[in-house]
Amino acid sequence: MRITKIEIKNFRAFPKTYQINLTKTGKNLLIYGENGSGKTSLYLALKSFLESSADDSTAFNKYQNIFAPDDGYIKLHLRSDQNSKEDTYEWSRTVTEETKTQLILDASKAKGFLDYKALLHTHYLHYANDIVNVFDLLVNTLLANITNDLTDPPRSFAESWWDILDVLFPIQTQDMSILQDMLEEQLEIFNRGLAIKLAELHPKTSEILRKFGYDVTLDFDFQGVIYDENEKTLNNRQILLKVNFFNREIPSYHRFLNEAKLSAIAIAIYLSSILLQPESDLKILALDDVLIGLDMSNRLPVLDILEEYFSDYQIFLTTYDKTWYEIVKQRTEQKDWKYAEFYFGETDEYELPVYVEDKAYLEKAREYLDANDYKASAVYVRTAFEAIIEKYCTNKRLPVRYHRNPRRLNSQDFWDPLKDEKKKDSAFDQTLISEIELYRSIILNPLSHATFANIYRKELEDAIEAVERLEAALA
Amino acid sequence: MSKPLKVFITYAHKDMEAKNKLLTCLKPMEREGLIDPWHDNEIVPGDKWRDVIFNNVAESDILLYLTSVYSLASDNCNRELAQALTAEKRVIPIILEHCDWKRHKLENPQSLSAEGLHFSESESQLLGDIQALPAGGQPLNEWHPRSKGWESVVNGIRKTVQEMQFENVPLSNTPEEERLAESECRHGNTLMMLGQLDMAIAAYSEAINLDPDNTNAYNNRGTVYSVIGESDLALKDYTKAIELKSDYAEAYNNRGVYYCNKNEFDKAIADYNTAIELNPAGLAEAYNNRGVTYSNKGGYDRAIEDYTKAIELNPNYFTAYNNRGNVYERKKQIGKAIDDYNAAIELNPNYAVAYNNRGNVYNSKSKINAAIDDYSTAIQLEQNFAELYNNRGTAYRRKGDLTKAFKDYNTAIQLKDDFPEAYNNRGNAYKEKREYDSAISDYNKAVELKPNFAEGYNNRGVTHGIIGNFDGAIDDFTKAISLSQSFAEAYYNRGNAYLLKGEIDQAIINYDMSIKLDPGDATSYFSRGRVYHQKSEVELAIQNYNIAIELNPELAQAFYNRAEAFLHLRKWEEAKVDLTAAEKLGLDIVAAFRNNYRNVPTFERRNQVQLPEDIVRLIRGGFRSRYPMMKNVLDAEGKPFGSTEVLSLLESLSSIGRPLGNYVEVSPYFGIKTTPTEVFVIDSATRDELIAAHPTSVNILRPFLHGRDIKRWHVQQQEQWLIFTHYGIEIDDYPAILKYLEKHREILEKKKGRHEWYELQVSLGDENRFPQSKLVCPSAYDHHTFAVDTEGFYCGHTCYIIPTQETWLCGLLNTRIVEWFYSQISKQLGSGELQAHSGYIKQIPIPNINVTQKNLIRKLVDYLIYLQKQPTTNSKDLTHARDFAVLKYFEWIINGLVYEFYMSDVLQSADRDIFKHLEVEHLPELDEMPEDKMSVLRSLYQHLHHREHPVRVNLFFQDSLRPIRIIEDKW
Repeated sequence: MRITKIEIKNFRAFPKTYQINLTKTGKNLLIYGENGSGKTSLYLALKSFLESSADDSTAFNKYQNIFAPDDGYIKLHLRSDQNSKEDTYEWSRTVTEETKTQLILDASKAKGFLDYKALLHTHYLHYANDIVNVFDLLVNTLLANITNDLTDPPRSFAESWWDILDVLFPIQTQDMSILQDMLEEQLEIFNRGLAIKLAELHPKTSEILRKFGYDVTLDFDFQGVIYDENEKTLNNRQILLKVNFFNREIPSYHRFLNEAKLSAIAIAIYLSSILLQPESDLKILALDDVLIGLDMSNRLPVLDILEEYFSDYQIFLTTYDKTWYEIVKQRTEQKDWKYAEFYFGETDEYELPVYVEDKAYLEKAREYLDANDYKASAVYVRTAFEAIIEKYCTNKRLPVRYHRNPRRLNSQDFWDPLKDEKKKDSAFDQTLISEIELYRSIILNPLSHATFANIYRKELEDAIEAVERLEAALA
Repeated sequence: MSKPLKVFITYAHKDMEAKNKLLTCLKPMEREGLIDPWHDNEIVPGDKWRDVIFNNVAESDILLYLTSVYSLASDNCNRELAQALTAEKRVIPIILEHCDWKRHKLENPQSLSAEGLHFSESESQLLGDIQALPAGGQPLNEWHPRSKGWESVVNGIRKTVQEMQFENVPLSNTPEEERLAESECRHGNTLMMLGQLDMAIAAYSEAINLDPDNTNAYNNRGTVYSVIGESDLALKDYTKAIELKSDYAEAYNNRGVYYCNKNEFDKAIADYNTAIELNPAGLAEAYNNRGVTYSNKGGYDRAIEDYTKAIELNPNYFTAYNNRGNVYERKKQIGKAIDDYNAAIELNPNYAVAYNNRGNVYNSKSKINAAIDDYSTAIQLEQNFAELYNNRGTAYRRKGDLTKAFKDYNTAIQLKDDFPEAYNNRGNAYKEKREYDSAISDYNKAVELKPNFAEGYNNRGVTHGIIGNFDGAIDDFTKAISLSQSFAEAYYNRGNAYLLKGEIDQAIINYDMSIKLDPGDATSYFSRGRVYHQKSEVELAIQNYNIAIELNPELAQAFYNRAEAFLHLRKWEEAKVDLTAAEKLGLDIVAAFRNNYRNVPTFERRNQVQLPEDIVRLIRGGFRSRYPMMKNVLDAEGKPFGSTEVLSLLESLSSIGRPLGNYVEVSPYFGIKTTPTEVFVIDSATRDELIAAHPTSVNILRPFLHGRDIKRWHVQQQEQWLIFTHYGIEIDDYPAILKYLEKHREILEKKKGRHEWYELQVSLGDENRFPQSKLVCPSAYDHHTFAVDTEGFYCGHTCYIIPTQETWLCGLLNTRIVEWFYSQISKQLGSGELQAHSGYIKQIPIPNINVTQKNLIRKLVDYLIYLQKQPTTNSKDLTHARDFAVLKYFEWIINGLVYEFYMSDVLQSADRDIFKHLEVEHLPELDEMPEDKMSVLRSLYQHLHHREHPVRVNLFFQDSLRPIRIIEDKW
């Protein structure tokens, strides 16, 4: 079962309607996006869509785009294979039952969703005495969604931990010693369940970590959380990370356990925890910016790991690192992957994530034109224009004004050399150059925060046509 | 004798009764040959109805118009009336009931909510002119007795008829012109009363033309001018009338009305004073009007005095009651105001104004439904008053019914397109609907129509603020403040706008002003606190929150914010109290915290604090606590009270197979009473001593079980023995036992009943209660805890026994689905524990399953009994945790199987059934396993627990199925 299309309307960063087409085969999706451009919103859209199946507190309203006048939705189109019928599942403020089905519930339980925020915890780990305590990281983040096999009925680790705190709290405030037995019993289940899970994780995590290029084995030293009757508190909340280097323990952890390595370890633990659970029919693995903490040399192995262990998952990768995006693009198979970019379009009324897929932005410009949304249409015309001239200049290796930061380059920087070249080219339609110049108020605004004064339909139509012709002429 | 005058009666069919009464009253005059009445009853069937009526009106001399709400609303009546007036027929309105007929068309809609200023028309004393009947226009249904009213009507008609009979004969030597002028003037009065204003003016003007000294014509024309808005012409006429007749009280009164409307209150009062001086007992209107003037000037007490005087002079003067109500309302004497409105309505149940005003009071007191009722009644009475729709719209809006509110506002604007308040209110409704563009355009219209409309600017400002146009918002608030300097809310809003713009100090100044103007407003304090909070002036923030909470102890957000402030100061206890208070008031503190800080680490990092566990727990929100969660609430009839989904699941489960009470041959029962247990139940050492002392002792010492010894699957007997001295025992056969019991004789003697002191309260037959093999469970428990006893234990009364050898039942009874079912149908102890109770346990449905299926569960139960006995599964040492996992996994498998046996269709259609996958595994019998059974079970676990094994996969995903979600409380 794969996702073939995602439709998002008025959700978080997405005002208006967005469609992300993953083709009939349900390709993986790689997204490059500037911060605030909407890539995290896409990640959250998928995540909350799945979680809405099990959790009534995941209300669509929480994510509704505040600038959007009417209600939004998320729709997933699913196919079990490319010849089968396509099913659509919707989640919105009013449609709340469609996700509460076996398929989505299963997918939510077995899903892998990790974002950079979760990994930020690694920055605040307790380093005292050269010991890294990963208790909170594991219980509240990495294993939060993983089932504690000893609970009856099954609960996740985060849930069974909170169950314990739920009992502890009344004991602390109301001196209800009768609850103590219950607390002890729950601690038993929690401690033993966690110990077993850590033992299960150990070989898989070490295996994955070796793929990262760290030839180490990991050990989790967990002695169990203890209830202290006198202080009425929980002691021993620690899982100490032990790293064995060529089977020899490293005495100074902090030298080895830098931020990048902790990131890698966290990712390895997370991925292996998913690999220990059964797979659902619809398998989604989404990693939102999680590789940013890694050195480039440690990022590439992630692609191998995904290929080796998660080949039957549908993978969603996002990054704000353009270089890394380009590398992944080159290293992955086009038949399995869809590549898309989110830009940050701005009108004087709202910020609009510009979703660019297969350079179809002129089509998009026309769509918005038809919908009478001139500002959104103009954003796409401009993006189209920029992409066309940038691509041409890059391919032709035309000399472009030097900028220390290439992202500072604006369309003028590409247009000017192109124009100079084409002015000398008698075969080139010279009227096209003057037409493009004419529509510069729409299409030639620099990437900086420009606003559109007055856009007229006719002008916009002509601009789209001119850019279309330019594209054809440069092809 | 001249021929009888033809009298045509116009009436609405609803007033048939009154018409018949009138006909009866007119009989004498008819017999005298004075009149010949005609009414539509006399239409001969087959006549062309319309034509007949038309002809009759045309031929009639007098038209009697039975005036009521019904006739005023009737097209036919109005047509007949119009026809008569056009033909200059003599028209006599006969007032049946209070229907405000005089003002039906005269009332200026804009003045509806204002006091009605009453004109006094000249009563022509000279000729005894009859305008409406009964005399004075007092409705017939207000006459006591009613017959007096009818008498007045008949006399009036008789007078008119006589007058008309002698019309051509001059009565006196009054000049012809004057007489004609009087006649014209009378005609004008009738026209005016019937709302034919232009014709009335023409008639009065003709009267003045004929007789330039006719003061009544001047005065009355003035009132008509005034009604149609020609107030200057009105003034001229009144003044002329006064000039001609200096003691003309009515004209003074009317000129007072003019001055009052022009806001020349002193002149108005002077005129009213004169009017009252000239006619101190007769002119209630003048008192009323002077009251209105005082009220406009802000002299509420004098106004009340005048209204009271007016009411004294005319106890039926409902307008004066209404007006006095308005003053009381302004003086915030709400009870008195409502009393007055009630009186006005009682006097005139069709008095829309009073309903409206009472509605306003209810509205301001948040009695929205009562207000809506009043407005609706008023609208029924007066369908064209925009103000009423506007008011009701606002009530609907406050009630949250935007659709109805819009409908009313639209009607209001449709009726009166220059109605700034209605635009403003509709703007508010659009704002609530989040249609901000429409809201702004309505506010634009409102302030355009009423440039000093501070509220309108304020509201537009709020809307600009919402859409992020803070400068526009600030401009609007500033404008509002300049128009109304004490507009606290506008200051408050401007503060908010500055805050959003990031101009914190400006914000504080504005909040300061708002607090100064309205020191009772909690939200201003709250907002100022929030700004100080933002400025990290935490102590100041807390001070402001304190006042806000003092002013409004239900301001949840203030509690929450104060809690955050306390967290900054590390005052954990105070913070906890406030968080709890905020939560109690209904605030989602988890969401609030997430909104502000995203999560706990962010807060801790930003504020350099480490939050204590219990606080973290509060603001993170705990998960629901332990299973089972179901509260077994019973309704009045003792049925479980829950959602239909739960009920239908329960119903479908209970119809499965047959109940346990049917399935097992002997009903379940409790163990025996062993009191005093400390005497009758002994340990192994004592047992050994007793046997050593005398060998017969062994015959009545039985292995014994307390409820607490029962674990799930098997019993952990603590080497306890029961001295089974049943009723009628030959105690002398057991000398060692007797000797032992003798030592406790004092305690044993305390037992009451027919038993000997050394006897248990059981008979020999009770031995049968404890067969070798049976299922046992504690009498009260958290989770279903059935165990298999194969050692023939004797059980105390804290045990519950199901006498059966089918050990698979133990597996069934320990599952979630059975526990859930039982918890739903049985009673729970206060502590939330479940209780064994035969009445309920016997209802547990036992599914029809085949021998292979039972056998599979039986095999698994055997595994579990074995596992439960192993030291490693019970060890707290985490290195042995795996063995406990083995046990839990086999329990899980039974759970899954039993789900399947109860709901095979659900599990099979979802492809989450496991029996078929287990069947092919051919699980070995425990007995047939080699010596190291533990290793065998561990590797079985490894195999069945593999992530790809269908049993594992299906068990893992079973809780995606709806009924299982309900049972496991995950829905």
